[in-house]
Amino acid sequence: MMRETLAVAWKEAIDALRDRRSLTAALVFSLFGPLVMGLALAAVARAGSAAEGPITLVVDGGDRAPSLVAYLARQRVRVDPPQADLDEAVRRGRIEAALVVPPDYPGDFLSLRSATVRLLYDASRASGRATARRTRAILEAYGRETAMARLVARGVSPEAARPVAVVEVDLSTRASRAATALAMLPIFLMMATFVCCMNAVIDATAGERERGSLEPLLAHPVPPAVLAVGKWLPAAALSIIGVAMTLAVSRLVLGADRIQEIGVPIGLGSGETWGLLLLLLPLAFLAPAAQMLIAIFARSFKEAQTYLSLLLFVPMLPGFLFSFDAVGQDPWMRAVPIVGQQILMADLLRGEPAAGRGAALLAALTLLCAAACVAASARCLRDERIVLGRA
Amino acid sequence: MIEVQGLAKRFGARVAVEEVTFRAADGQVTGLLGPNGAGKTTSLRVLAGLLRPDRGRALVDGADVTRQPAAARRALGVLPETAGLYGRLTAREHLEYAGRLHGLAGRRLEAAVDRALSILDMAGLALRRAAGFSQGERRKVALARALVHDPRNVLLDEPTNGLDVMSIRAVRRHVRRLADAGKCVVLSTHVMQEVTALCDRIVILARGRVVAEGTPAEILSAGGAPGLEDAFVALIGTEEGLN
Repeated sequence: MMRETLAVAWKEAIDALRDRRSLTAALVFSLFGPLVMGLALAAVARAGSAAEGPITLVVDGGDRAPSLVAYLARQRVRVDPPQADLDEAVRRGRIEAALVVPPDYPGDFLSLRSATVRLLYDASRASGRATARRTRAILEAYGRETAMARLVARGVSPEAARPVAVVEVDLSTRASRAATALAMLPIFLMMATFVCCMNAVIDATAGERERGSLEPLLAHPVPPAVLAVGKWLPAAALSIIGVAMTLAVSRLVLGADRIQEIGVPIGLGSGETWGLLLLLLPLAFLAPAAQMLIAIFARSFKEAQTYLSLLLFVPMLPGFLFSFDAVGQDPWMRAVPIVGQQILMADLLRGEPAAGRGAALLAALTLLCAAACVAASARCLRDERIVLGRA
Repeated sequence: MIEVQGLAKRFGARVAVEEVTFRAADGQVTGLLGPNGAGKTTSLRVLAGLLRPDRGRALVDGADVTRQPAAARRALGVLPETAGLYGRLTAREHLEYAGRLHGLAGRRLEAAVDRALSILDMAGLALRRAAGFSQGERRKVALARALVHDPRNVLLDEPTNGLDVMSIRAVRRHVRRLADAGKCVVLSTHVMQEVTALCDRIVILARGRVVAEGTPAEILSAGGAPGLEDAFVALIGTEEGLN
């Protein structure tokens, strides 16, 4: 039976490799995920520079508030001269933020009334938000210093006017923000196992029915299990190739200078890469097996595509639910195929050593599910309703 | 030799085959003739081991198709209604695949494929992919695929359906040659000329039953009519589904 299984596998492999369009789609997908992640990380890098680099602020009416402008300069804010139609310039993003000192500012300031300044920014732009937030902090600091100076001049202790002093300590670092972006990687890897084999699976199941080749195929003296296994193995190989490619591209992306600049210790080392590949290997066998069992019930390629696109949500689900904290993680989840891989991959990326025995149990259960799906598909292949295209 | 005994098959409430019994001898072409829906294809599918009969049994060279499926299928070549080719494989690859699934390998496989390719003069097709084949070319490849393991028994479901005149002649010539070489050939058809041109024996099916069986001459006398077509109509009792 071994020889016949190989004959089926060989034929399906040739057929899949000649299907250029499906193959390209699978390869593009394995590039797509890591590149999206790279873009997100690059955005973190950019936001990081906005949070720590010098601020550039357009000040209109600065001559009315010389001490304020001097204070800004001491805080290393670059003050630019005003230009026509400030509102529009901010809205268009040409200026990140602008400060307008109105004509009644000097009068209010000198007569100890609250003097108003207007801070223009566009909250729909991340860079504008960051600049505005930092400018506001500087302005409030200036206000506090001025207030203290006034109190001291009147013989009041400044401490009395500040019953509570809040010291904010922002523990979010660029590294933790980058980790959020990196959390996409397990989802993309998991989807790669499902996407890369999808067309090959459909072609070998619903495709056989659609073109009427299942009937002559079943007339050969081979048990259906031989056909099912022969169709399953090349599809699993495609999944493995897809995962390996996604990992390779991710390593390249994460190693890029732009992302290394973030100073994040999350580059994919070879240990992590091999660990992820090993974790996903059993899943690369389960994905085509589960798809086969579903696609065999479809009469046409299109019908099967509809079902299997819905199945794609399954590998995405645990990752999303965990990242939004919609469900908590229980220890038993680590043994559930797909959910377990998601958890263990996240552990691995956080730098926690993967539990060897837990991972082995998960791999065994995943392969068991895969074998069950293949066995069920084999039974279906002989089902009269499927042979005759009635189901 | 192919034997069908008391075969019955229903799909839900619809009875496809009520009671079919016939015997097809080696060295002869046996034609299953009947209007559409008479149960020809269902009978052939049971013989090919694709469907389980509700009652009765089918034997290929003495092997029961449901109890000894592998033995029965090894002795059988099947040409189904649709060619069912893989668009991205060449004609030669189709034959190699079928040969491997019949357990052939190495030099025996190559020899079998070369022989099957030569049968229908397919040298020009061998290395082309099936996606570009005409209807006739597809049928030829499907027929060669059914014969690649040199089976002693051959089932042909409407072998000339949808073919042009030249292809029909080529297929018929080859079917005749198979029987002359001592094989047992069973073909289904609803085309009268096919029967007169090819068959040594005729089994007439209608509404899932055998209504007449015999040589063309015997059928003529049984129907009590001057031509085979009139005899056929007289036997099945209706002109429905004829052409």
